[in-house]
Amino acid sequence: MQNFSFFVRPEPNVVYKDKLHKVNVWIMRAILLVAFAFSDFYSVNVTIMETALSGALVNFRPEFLYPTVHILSGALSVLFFEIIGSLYYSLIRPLCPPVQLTKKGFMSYLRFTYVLISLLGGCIKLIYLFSDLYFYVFNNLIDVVVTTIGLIVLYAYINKHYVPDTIKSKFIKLAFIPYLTVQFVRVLGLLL
Amino acid sequence: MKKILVILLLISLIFAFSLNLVSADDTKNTSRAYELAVDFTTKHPYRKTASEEGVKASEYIREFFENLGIENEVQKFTYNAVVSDNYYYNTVVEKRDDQNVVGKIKTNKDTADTVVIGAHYDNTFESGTGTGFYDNGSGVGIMLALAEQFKKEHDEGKILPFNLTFVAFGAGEYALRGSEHFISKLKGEEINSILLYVNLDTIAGGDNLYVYSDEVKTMQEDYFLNIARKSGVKLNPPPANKGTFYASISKLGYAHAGLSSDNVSFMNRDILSVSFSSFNWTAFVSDVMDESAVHENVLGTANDSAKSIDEIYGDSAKEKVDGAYTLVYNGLREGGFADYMRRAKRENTDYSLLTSRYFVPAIGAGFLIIVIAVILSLSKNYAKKHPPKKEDSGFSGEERPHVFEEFD
Repeated sequence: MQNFSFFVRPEPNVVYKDKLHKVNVWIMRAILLVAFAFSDFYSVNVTIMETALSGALVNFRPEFLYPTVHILSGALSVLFFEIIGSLYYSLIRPLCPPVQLTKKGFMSYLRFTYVLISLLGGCIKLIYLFSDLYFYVFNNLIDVVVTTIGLIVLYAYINKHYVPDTIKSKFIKLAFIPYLTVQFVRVLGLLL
Repeated sequence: MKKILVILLLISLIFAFSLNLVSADDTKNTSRAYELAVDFTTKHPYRKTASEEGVKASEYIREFFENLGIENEVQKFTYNAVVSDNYYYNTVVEKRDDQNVVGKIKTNKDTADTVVIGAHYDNTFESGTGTGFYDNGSGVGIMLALAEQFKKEHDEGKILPFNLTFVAFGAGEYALRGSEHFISKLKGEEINSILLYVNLDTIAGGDNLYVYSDEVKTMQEDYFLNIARKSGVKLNPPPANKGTFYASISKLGYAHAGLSSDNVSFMNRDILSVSFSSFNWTAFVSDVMDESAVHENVLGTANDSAKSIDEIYGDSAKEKVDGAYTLVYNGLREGGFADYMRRAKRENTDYSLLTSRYFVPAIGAGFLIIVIAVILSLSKNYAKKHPPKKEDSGFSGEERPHVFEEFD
């Protein structure tokens, strides 16, 4: 029998330095849902109102659907967050195998970071309540700026505690390549 | 002591009674604008966009202008409308004919300056909906009352120093096609000569009367807020949180309660405008549309009729209709109106850069470049602190494992 054990990537020897992972994952997801709803307060039921305005269905006012749309859009955001977060980990992990962080650990950090990002973004958007000026398009910019700063802090933290010294320099660059690619595509999309 | 108390009681009773009498008298005092709105919506309750009944409603307005001796014309136009039973799966494009009615009162001064006053006359009639008194019989009523008053004063020699154009728009309920057509027919110099466009739409329900002019504070907004203070009319500027949503009708790429009527067509051509309406702006931001914090929703329901509005809102509806009428009338009659609006055209804040197509992407791209620089600098810093060790893989040089040794 051949020994293929050297092909199997060894599980990282995880040493958590905080108690974040001990918070029930569903509680964190529920907090995330509330945070997303807070951050996206201004942009819900947008599509429904546009159909009413464009004249296609002038009397189409499904008021009873609005609470459902709120909850559904928040729940879908959390679902996408989980999927994209997992994919992200799967992408980064093979490129930097010595990173001592499991998927579970990475996701718990990412959830916590996004809760903070959404709450901060939502708070910044509250300025519109007290402002004479309302340009909706700035909401996207606020999201991008807050998210990027949040992710820089997260990856710097992971880099400090879970990444071997030899690949710290490589990890910080690799971690941001997918994110920055997506953001540049968004910017290009605005131009086209 | 008892006598004094009895006298005081009698005096207070008489005082209270007299107050009641005064308010009872007030309720009977309905305005001309309100009367005209009731008459128009009672005679033409079913005037769905681009329908035969809609044409009859526009004929009512044309005859009204004709009877007053106001120069008038009917502007016919055609547009493609998306109609379907199901918006998502069964889209059909239909060609529709519709019409605007235009009335003009010309000044005796040698000037092309014009104030345009407009309101859409069509409604969204379906079985189960009302007569469209609120949306927008009220706006039509105010416009007709203004036309009547200004024409009367014109004939008496009290002539305004600018031209007046009254427009009853068709297809106000279908992507503002009526107002778009009206502007598309104007020449460049005619557009430049418009001092102000006054929009009247959905004025009766809601909790407050609002004036909206633009996405920033403008001089014309201040002008009407001042007129309101002078005239004792309750008028609110738009709330800071306007409940914005994506929509393509405005060149800004989004809309809200102030960007949902014919004033948008004028704003898209950089014409100064003010729009009066009275439903709550929170209608577009909360889970359930709430036109009023106190009363039930009226728009698009069976309650959108003069009778129901009267029952639900009572004097409040009349106050708003009268208020909008008074503001427009006093605003145009105020000395220096034309000079003020010319100055407003020059001095209003220009925010076009903020809404230009390239501004936000440029900021976004700039920010991302800064982020790349930060990440590279972080990476360089890590590399400096922790330089990579030389050849720690164990797979180089002479000590390479001889995996194929047994075959040698």
